[in-house]
Amino acid sequence: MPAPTAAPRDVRFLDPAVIARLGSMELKARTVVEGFLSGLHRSPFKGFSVEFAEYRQYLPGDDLSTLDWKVYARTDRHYVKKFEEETNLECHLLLDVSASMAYRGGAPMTKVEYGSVLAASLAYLMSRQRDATGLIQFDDRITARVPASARPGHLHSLLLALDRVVPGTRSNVGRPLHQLADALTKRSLVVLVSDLLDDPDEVVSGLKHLRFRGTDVIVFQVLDPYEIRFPFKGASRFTDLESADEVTADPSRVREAYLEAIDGLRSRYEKELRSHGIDFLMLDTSKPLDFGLLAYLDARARRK
Amino acid sequence: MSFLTPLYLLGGALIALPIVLHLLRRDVAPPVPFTAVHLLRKTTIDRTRRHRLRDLILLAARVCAVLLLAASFARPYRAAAPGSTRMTVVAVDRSFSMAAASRMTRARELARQAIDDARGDRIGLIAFDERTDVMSPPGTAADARAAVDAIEPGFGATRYASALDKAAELLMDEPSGRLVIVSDLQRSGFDQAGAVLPEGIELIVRDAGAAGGNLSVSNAAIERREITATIRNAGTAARAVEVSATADGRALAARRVTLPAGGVADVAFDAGADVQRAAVALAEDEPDGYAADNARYAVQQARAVPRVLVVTGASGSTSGFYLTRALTAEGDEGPDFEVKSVAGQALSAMAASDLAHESAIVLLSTHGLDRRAGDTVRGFLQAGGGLLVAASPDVDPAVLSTVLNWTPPIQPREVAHAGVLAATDLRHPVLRPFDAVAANLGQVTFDRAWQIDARSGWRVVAQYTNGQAALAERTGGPGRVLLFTSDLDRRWNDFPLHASFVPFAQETARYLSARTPVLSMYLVADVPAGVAPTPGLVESGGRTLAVNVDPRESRIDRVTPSEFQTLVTRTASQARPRTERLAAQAEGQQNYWRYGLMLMLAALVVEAFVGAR
Repeated sequence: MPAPTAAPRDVRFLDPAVIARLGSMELKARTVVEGFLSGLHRSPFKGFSVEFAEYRQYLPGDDLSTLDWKVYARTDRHYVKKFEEETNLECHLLLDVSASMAYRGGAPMTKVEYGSVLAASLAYLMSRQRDATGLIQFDDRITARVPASARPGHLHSLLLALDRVVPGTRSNVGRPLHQLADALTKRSLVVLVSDLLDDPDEVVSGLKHLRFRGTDVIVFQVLDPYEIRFPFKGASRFTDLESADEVTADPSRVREAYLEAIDGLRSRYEKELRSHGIDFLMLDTSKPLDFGLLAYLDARARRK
Repeated sequence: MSFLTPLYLLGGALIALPIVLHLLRRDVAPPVPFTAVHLLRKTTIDRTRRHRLRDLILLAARVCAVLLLAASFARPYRAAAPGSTRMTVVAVDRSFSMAAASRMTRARELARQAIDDARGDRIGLIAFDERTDVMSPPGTAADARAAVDAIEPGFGATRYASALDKAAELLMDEPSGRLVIVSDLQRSGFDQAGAVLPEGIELIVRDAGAAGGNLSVSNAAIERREITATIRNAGTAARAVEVSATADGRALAARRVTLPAGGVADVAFDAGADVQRAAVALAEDEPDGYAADNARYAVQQARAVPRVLVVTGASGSTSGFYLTRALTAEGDEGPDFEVKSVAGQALSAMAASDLAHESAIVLLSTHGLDRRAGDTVRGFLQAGGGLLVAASPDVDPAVLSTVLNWTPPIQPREVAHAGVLAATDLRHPVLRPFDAVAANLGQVTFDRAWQIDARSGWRVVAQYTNGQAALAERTGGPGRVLLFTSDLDRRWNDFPLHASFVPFAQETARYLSARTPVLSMYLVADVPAGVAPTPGLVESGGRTLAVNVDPRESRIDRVTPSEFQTLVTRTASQARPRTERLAAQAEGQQNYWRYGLMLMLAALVVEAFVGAR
């Protein structure tokens, strides 16, 4: 997936530092999406979002089928609801809630908080598209599940679940992916939000299983800026949040090798997943969320 | 390994610093929660091992550096092996009394025996009379034995103090030492005070035998044409002995004299004319008596007349006329001074050795003086000579200060009508003879004189009535230097015409000439340089010297070995300082601290090298 780019806009409402200070997950999601859309209206990506945003007066030559009769009945004016459409897309948000996702280094939010907001925003967006949206939380197993649904009150349930995310234990991304792949019965979209600091073979295997079942997959690798840049100084005893393993090292001496390793991991995911038609995007928890949303819309558009 | 200043070793406790830092460094690594630890582990495991090794090397280098620094400051040294610290000194008497019969043979046997007894020690061998010579420095027994045969009796007298001093010096740095005295144990050896030995030194006395009797010539003197000799019989029986004499090489009729036991007799010889040199000898002695004291020599003692060198402006000058007349005035026994006048140029051509027989110099002019003259005069003063400088129109103060190296130079101002002379310090040897008649000096009128600043480097002896210094003595330099600030040639005053001038000139010259009197008769131990320490009549420096043995050595009374021990004064033990000196000496020779500091630097280089990696 080409890296989506957005035109300069007001990113205040997409800034994680701002989002983190907001209260409920619903408010966070709405703020992100509305902020995202308000910018998008002025962007070249307009074609992705017209389903929700525009009513305009009927102009000669417009397709009469797009005329909104309900509005006409209420206002006695002709408005075109040009791009609104019904959908039968089923979308599953897979959120990794393992212990490593609770890490927060140099970002305003932990990875799991960032992932939750991302998932909430996507859910909010999907809800406006009337897609059936479901949520699966997992660590080394599925810990919580909200079935996919397009009912009007369903969004609230999703956001409530995301608001109550509790980090779990060790992660095993492959296992829930296989479980989900076995459970899916219809065409759907799976969005995986995880740090993917797991066995790459297991992860890729699970994602390939999903893809084999005809499922579209978008993978967001959420990483803290400290995990990306490794800016530590001074001898430190690094303790693994999941395994409690310890490594004492001088960061200045291991930084280069670490960055090579983390970049190699990212490159491997990117290469292997793309080869199987899976969208992959690494997100920095200190960066705005719009990249994630754009990636989703890009995938959504390609499905049509 | 021992340490000279072991307290510095406490500094070694500072190794705790790098060790604690090393341990803290491990603990200071704070726990940091992280996620991708498995990525770190993959990359750092090898590095961590290497770093652990590096840290250990760094720790070792730092600990070594601290320890080496502390050890270097403690000044390590390796003490000598305990067995080799003991030293024995064997002292053999070589006075002329040891020449009697087979006494020296016996003494050598005793010395060898003492050396054999001390086998395993470091052994030194010394031979003594008034002087002590080291025949074999502390070393092996073989060296000492080989040196024993080189000891021969001389003409000196026994002086135990000399041997004890030398032995104490040799044993000074020894923690334990032993002194073996081999002697005929004459009591006269203790005549000279100072027979002391430190307490820590073991003293062993070996008796080389005694003389049963001895005849000696204990004195010989010349009184114009008569030679008088004193003959002593140290034996226990009366003896008759023939005494012969020679006068100026001419044999006189022998005389026979009978001496009671322990008695003394004077024998007079009439030479018929004044005698300058004489020798008196005994025809025989006791069988084990001392041959060296059987003869005695005498010379007519010449009256010592000090020689004064008067330096004038130029040859043929009348300068110094009054002074010369005053100094050569005849007394009861002739003139008291021998005066010689030379020009300044002649003085400049002289070497210091040319003034060896001069007692004083009077400088009346600086004409013709150059730097060499300055060196000559300063050398003369260094040798104890005296100098009188009299102001006059012929004396240039600047030249004077330069030649005599006076700092600051004198800068006199000529003043008129200085007044009369007034003695300031009647205790001064020049003015002391005037005493009650010092007022006679006040009859002299000084029309002109130098006015000098006598505050630094001068002591005023006499003043003018205007308060200025008339006679001042230079202080602080070698020799005696007097400055008379007016003329001695009747140009600036009428002093030479007054009766006080002669005693003033003579007392001044006498004060400046106060040198050691010239002797003509010496004991063997006191002969001047260049004269062999052998009894006899010797020509030296144009004079005839009589050299004799010390008559005290002719006595045969002895001390027992146990009495000898009691007559030696023991001083406080120097054991501890000796040990410390020995340690300091060993440390100073070994200089291990330098190696310690070099190793410390090497450790720091390693530390810097490893730490930078």
